Amino acid sequence: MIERAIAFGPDGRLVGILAEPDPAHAVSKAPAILMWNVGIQHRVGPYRVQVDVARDLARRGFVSFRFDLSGMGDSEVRQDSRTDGERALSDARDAIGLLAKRRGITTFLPIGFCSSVDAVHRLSLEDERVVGACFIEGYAYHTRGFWLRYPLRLLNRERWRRYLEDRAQKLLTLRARDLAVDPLKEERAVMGSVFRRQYPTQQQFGADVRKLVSRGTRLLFVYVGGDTEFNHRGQLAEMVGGRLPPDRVELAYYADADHTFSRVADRALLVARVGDWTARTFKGAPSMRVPANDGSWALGKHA
Amino acid sequence: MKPAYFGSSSRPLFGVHGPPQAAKGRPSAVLLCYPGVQEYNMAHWAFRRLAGSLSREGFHVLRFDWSGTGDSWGETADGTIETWLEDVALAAQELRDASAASNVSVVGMRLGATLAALACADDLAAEQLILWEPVVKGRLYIEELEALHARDSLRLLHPTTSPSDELVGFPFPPTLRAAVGRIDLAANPPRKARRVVIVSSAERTDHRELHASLERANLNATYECVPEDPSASNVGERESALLTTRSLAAIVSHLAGRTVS
Repeated sequence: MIERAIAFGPDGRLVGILAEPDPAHAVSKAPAILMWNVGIQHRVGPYRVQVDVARDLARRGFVSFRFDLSGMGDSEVRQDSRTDGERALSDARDAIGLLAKRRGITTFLPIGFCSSVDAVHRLSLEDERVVGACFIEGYAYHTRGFWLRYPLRLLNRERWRRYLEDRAQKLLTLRARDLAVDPLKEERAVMGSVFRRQYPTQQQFGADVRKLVSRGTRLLFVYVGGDTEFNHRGQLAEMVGGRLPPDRVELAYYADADHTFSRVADRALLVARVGDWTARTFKGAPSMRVPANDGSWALGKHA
Repeated sequence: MKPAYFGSSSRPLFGVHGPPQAAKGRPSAVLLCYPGVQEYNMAHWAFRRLAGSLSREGFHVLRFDWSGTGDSWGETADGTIETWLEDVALAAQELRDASAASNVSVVGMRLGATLAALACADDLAAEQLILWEPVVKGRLYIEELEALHARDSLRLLHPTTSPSDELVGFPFPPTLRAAVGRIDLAANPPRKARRVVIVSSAERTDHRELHASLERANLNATYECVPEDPSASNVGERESALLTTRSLAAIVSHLAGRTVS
C-alpha cells in the first residue's frame, strides 16, 4: 500500500490522502472509495476510523481518497456564498475529477458517517458514476416498530448499570465536574452552530433509496443501537416503506455499539464489515448496471 | 500549505508545511508536535490556527502526525516512546531541509510537549521550546486518561472494560502504559533548548514544579498561565482546547519575541 498527500481543487486549496494498493493486488476497474469529514473532525474521522478503513481497503485491492471539505481540517475555505451542503458536493466532485483525471477511475463509492451522509446521499442521487454507497449512522426515522420496542430499553441491564453508576458518582461528587459534562454536548453544540443539515423527510428518503436501488447502486447501511434513533434490524425496511433486495442492499446493525464506534472492538467490526462488503460486492464484478427493480424486495440476508 | 509525507518509505510520516506569509520571512522555523492520539483530534483545528498565525508572522512551520496517529504510518497499538522520539528528530530535520532555517523552535502540546522536551534532553537543539499544557509525570497523565475513559464509558452499553489495554477509544497496551508511566519531565531537563516556556490555561502544581526544576537546572525557563475564556471553562480540558485562543496568542507572542520574560 502507498499513500500520497494531494492538494487538489480550486488553486489546490483542498487536501486529501490517496491510498492505493500494491499494483499487483489492485482490483481492476473497481470503484474508488471516497471519505470526508465527519462532523467537525478532520478527514481521519472519529478515532481514526477512516484511516483504518482506507488501509483495510487498500490491502483488499481498492483505491481510496479521504479528504477535507473546504474550510475544514487542512483544506482552505472556498470563497463563495454557497451553503455547506453545496460546497461539500463541489468538493466531492473535485475529488472525483481528480481521480478520473489522474487514475482513470470511472466509478465511485462514497462512505458517509453521521453528518457526512448528507453529501453522500445527494452525490449518489445526482451522479450515476456512484455505483455503491455506504451510510454509517445516517438518516433514521422513528417508525412504528421503533416506538413499539422503545420501552424495552427499560429491560436492558447495561442501561441500568450505566444510569446507576452515573448517579452514584454524581452523589459522591468525586468527579462531579467531569460527570456533569455530556461527552457529546459540546460537539452537538458546535455542529449545531456550524452545520445546517438538510434532513430529507422519511418519504423522500424512501423514494431516494428506491431510486438508487433501481439504478443498480449497491448500498450498505450501518446502524448502532446505543442511544440512537435506530433500535432494530427491521427499522430500515420500515423507513423506506418496503423490503429491500438483498443483492443490492445490506444492513449491518450493532446493537451495543455507540454512535462513534468509540470502542476498539466495535470499530474493528465496522472496518471489517465495510471491507468485506466492498470486496464481496465489487471484486471482480465492478460497476455493472443491473436491471431495474423487479419488485422482489426482501430484507438483506446479511442484516 | 503543502501537505506531504516524509521520512523513510517504510515509515512515512504525514506533515503539513506552511511557508512564511509575511513580507519578510524570519531565519527560524517552528515545529509543531500534536498531543497523543487520545487528544489529537480535538487539537487539530487549534494546531491549524497556530500554524497559520506563525506563518503570518514570517515563520516556516511544520506540523506532523506521530507514528500510529492521524495520516502517518502505523497502528495506534504499536506506538512507543522510542519511535516517537525518532519521529520528532525526523520532523525537525525535514523542517530544516524545507526551510533552510538557521534554527528551529519546537511547540508541543500535552504528550507532544513531553516528547519534544525529551528529544531536547537528548540531542534535538531548539531555539525555543514551548511546552503547552505539558505532561510532566506520565503516571498522572494515565490517571487523567483513565478518568476520561470512565466518563466516556458512561455512554456505552457494554460493561465497563478494564482500562489496561484501551483508553479513551484507542489501544493502550501494557508496554506503552508502563513506558509512559515512567516519564518524569523534571528528571530530564531539556538542555538542548536555549529557552523553555511553559504555557498553561490553568494554575497547575505540576507545571509550577516543572518550572522550578528547570530553573534549578540553570535553564532559561518561563512559566505563563493564560486563563481561557470562562465561557469555555465548563467543557472539560479536552474540549476546551478546541476553543482556545489566548494560549495560541501567548505562544505566538513568545516565538515572535513580543513577550519579554
